[in-house]
Amino acid sequence: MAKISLKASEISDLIRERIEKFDSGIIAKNEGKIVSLSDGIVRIHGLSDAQYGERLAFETGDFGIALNLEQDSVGAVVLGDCDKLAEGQSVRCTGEVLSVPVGPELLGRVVNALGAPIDGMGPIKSKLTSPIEKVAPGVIWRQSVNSSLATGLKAIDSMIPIGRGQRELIVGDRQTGKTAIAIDTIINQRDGVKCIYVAVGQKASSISNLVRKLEEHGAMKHTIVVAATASESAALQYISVYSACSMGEYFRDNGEDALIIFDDLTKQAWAYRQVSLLLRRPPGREAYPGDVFYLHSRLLERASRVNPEYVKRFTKGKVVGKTGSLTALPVIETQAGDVSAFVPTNVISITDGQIFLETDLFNSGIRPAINAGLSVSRVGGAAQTKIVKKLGGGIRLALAQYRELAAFAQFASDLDEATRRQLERGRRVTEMMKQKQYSPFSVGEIAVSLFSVEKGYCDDIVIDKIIDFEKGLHAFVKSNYEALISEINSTGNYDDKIEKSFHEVLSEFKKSR
Amino acid sequence: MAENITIARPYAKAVFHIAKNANMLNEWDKFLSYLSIMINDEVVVSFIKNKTISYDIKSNLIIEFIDFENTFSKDIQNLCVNFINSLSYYGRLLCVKDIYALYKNYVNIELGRIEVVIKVASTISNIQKDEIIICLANRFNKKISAFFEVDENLLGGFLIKTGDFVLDSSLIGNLNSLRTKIMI
Repeated sequence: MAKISLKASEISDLIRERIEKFDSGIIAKNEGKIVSLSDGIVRIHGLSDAQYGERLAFETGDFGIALNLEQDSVGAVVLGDCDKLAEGQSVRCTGEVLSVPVGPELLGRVVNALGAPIDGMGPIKSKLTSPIEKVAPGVIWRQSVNSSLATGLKAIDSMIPIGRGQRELIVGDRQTGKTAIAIDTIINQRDGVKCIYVAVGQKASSISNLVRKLEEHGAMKHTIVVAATASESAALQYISVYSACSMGEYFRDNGEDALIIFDDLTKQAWAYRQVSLLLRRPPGREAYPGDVFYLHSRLLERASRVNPEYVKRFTKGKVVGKTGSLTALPVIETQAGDVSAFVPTNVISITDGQIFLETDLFNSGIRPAINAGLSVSRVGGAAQTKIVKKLGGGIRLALAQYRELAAFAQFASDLDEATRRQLERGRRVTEMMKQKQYSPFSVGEIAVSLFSVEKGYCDDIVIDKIIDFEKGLHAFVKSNYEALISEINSTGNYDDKIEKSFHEVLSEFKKSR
Repeated sequence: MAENITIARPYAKAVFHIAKNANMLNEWDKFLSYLSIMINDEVVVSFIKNKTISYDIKSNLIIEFIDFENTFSKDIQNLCVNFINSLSYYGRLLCVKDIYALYKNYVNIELGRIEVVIKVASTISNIQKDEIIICLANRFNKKISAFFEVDENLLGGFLIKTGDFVLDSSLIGNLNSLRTKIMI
């Protein structure tokens, strides 16, 4: 992970500043006593004034959140270490909801669920904090999703486009490349989109590897990693997604574009189930509590595109005429491809589409292992780049026809010419949709690849050589037609002139081979 | 504990209504105080917890221990015996402490007063005590029933506690608050 750059003088300055700002005097507080403590859950007698979600302070200096308000007691989750807590210790209300630091100072940092740095790079000098639980912007502050968030993955950008402010679920079994899609999308955000990656219940070593990969590809400078590892308490795993969402909302509310990846919400739901059961809330389907739908709906509703009036109001007129967006890519891990389980169906119904990954496709070498039939983007079409929309329109159809024909072709020995051609095209399209990890493509590169397969330039190429063909084509375009690609990347337009140029490029390239 | 309070609430409410209707709030207070001290004893607790002893033996033994004739008014003697019997029958004898705490709470609400524990770092004069009580009466707009304690651990200042509400002006309280503020 990152090198240690902690300075003693910085800490001294910070402590001095806090001492100077400290307001001594009479402290009025609502106090209670811990009556039971188990598995990170405390029951507190007293605290009659506690509010739902209020931050509670233990006498050991630790904090908790009040989650169950009962007639005589309060059930709370401890945030962090509860080794020092004991029955009989006093607990007081703080009168504030749990907040985390927000702002551009967090970019490039790895923080825990409470926003505290865990990368050894010293304290975060953020000026602002924001409550972790916030109500999503209302309908009058929303703007329709009409600009594209390029993932750099051909299969996604052409068939399941994602718009800025959209919620697109990534769903699949373990080891199907869910995180890989998320990481590639982060790496591809070079045009000012701030990224927040939330790791819930993952191994610390996996998170460390991920951060290293992001650093290698220069993506860490526009990314915040929020880590609630498997060894951390269920409470921290549960709140981590809300903390990260607040960090993302800062960028959205200030007229910027942000992307948040929740990896994954299944583990967050497990953590919430654990907390709920320990709080003695009645279990429902699959032992989840009754409000597990609301757990995810209130989180994902915060991902939105807001209009310039909202940004202007939020920034008190400092930012005018800019919209803000927070795009969410929640990840859900299914068990044996069962998308009809409780949490996957909930999140599918909340989000604006899903990218469905399949183990069989992954094992057969189709990576990203996207099932084009089950994957859908409900709003992305309106936000797709013009050129990718035009050229990628036939891809989905070609793949759908290919799947249908391929099933029938297994029984037929003789195939007519048209069917055979469709099958061949389908095979080539499938091959063309393959893409290596950590190598997202620009809009121009995706366009030229799609054009080559769409217009039949790949029809005479052996299937195994399609990837090499594409690699060579990209190198050729980069060295000889850089201006054309730059123009497409900046405008995203597609007209007769560009079509003619593409024909020239491909004819020339094929001649040179 | 929290569960005991929930269980104790209807009993406390019932006793309070009986006491209020008979205008015997103090008599019942005295009885509940006596009973809660008695049931707080370790030997009595283990005796009550013993499941091999039947409920009537438990209640009879407790009733025998209490000197009703010389301690309580005749008007409440039968009610007190019935109260102990019913607590024993339903296995709620260990809730007496909570019943008493809730009863006191109901009485305080009825009489428009609050009980306040005032901890001070060193002994203060009666004039100072009166000043504090007057200030608190104005603050809460209720009669104050104050209990003063000297607690050297406060280092300086005072701490006022009533129910869940705490007014902390002690040096140790401020230092603890500063500790959490400067924690990095």
